[in-house]
Amino acid sequence: MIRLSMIRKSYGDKEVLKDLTLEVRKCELLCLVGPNGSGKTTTLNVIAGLCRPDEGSVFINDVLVDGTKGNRLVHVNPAERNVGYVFQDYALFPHMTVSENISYGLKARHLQEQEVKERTRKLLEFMEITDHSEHYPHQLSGGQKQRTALARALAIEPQILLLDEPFAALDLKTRESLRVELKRILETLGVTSIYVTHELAEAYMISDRIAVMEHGKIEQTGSRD
Amino acid sequence: MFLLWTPALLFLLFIIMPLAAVFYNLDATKLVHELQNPEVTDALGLGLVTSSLTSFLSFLFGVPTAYLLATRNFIGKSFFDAVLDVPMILPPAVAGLALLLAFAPKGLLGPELRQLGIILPGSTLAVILSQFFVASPFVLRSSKAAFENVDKKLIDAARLLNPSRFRVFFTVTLPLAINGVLAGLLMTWARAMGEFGATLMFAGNLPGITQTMPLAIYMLMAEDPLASNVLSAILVVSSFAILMMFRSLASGKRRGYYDQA
Repeated sequence: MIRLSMIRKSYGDKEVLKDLTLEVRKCELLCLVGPNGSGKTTTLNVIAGLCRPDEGSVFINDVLVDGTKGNRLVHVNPAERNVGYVFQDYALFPHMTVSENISYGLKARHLQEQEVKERTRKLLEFMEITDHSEHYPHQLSGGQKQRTALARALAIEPQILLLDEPFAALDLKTRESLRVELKRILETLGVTSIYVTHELAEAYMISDRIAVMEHGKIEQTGSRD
Repeated sequence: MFLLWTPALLFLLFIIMPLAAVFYNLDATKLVHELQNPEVTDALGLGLVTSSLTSFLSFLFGVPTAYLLATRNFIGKSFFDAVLDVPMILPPAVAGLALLLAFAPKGLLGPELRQLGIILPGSTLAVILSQFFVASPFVLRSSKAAFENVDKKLIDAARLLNPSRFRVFFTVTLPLAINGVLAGLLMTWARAMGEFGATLMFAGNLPGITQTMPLAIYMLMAEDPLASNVLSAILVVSSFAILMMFRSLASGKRRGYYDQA
């Protein structure tokens, strides 16, 4: 579960988030829809801890990760929030192979080497990219990059998954097949997710609930019916 | 066509003539003979050791500073940044004098250094400090540009997966900036090898202690022109080699890191 309450964030004079309040229920897939510059990516960055809000509080599974508790300012390190994040242009590490990208978070968590290998192997299989495990990102197609990015985000078994226009750079056919697959994966894993897109049609197809964002706040939320 | 080729070829000829002239009088026997001359070997050895230590120190201080300047904002940053560049354009003789005025026994910090038993002029340490003063900005510049070019999203992605900022730096940021850092180190090393003015002013010209290659070339020109010629040839070859490495690093598409969108 994710809860944002009265989040404010400005960059210089520009107010990006204005008293943003949003709740995503456990295991729900929420689509965040809105025009470019409406604050969608900043919202994800605030949840992930990559960007500290000026005001307001952020809860992940009822734990305060950003905000004030009594007089104390709380800010939990991004890696300790256990959040998986799929960036808009994948942000795969270009100097690491597909395997190394996927296992990066596992190694950083000091897992046993055997377990790292086993979990990486399973993810490669699950995402159907085993054949590309030793390839570098620049040798992959858009769809394969996307699968790698998703595998890397899922490797740490996140409680929350954030997807920032994950299919924006893909052609229509790849996009459709991946969308169906993503839906299946998220349902299997039962992970709470926010999916950012600027296409309402895509939002209808994939989400449990849609939140429309404009000028740094949620204008409207509703189920897809 | 003529208007382009004539100046271009004259230009090339003018640069290539002196470089070729350095090798004109040399042959293998003379080279082998001079490589047994202690004045030549001392200068060569000292040059290699001091410029390597200078490069190491430049790495140690330059890379963290470059990272700080590339990733943090603080009051006085642009002044900080500009000051560190000054030695790059300062005339080396001025650099040497400035170092004397600061660190010589009668200089600003002279008494304190003397209490610690350190007398810099006439020491190999002074050679390294002179080289560091004029050559370290190359590592700083090049590393700073390289850190600025690392896609911030990749660092964000790493921060989400790795709780240690320190390890994020060594596993993602530095590997992605390494070509720029290495290119800067090469330039620092080459500049240190060729350092003349500041070394002569601050460290002096003592064979085996402070006499690096350029100093030896200058001193031996009258009494042993062949030795001076051999040392020059070594510097021309090493400069050329460094430049070629620098260019391959700067075009840096190893494994196509930067191709990816």
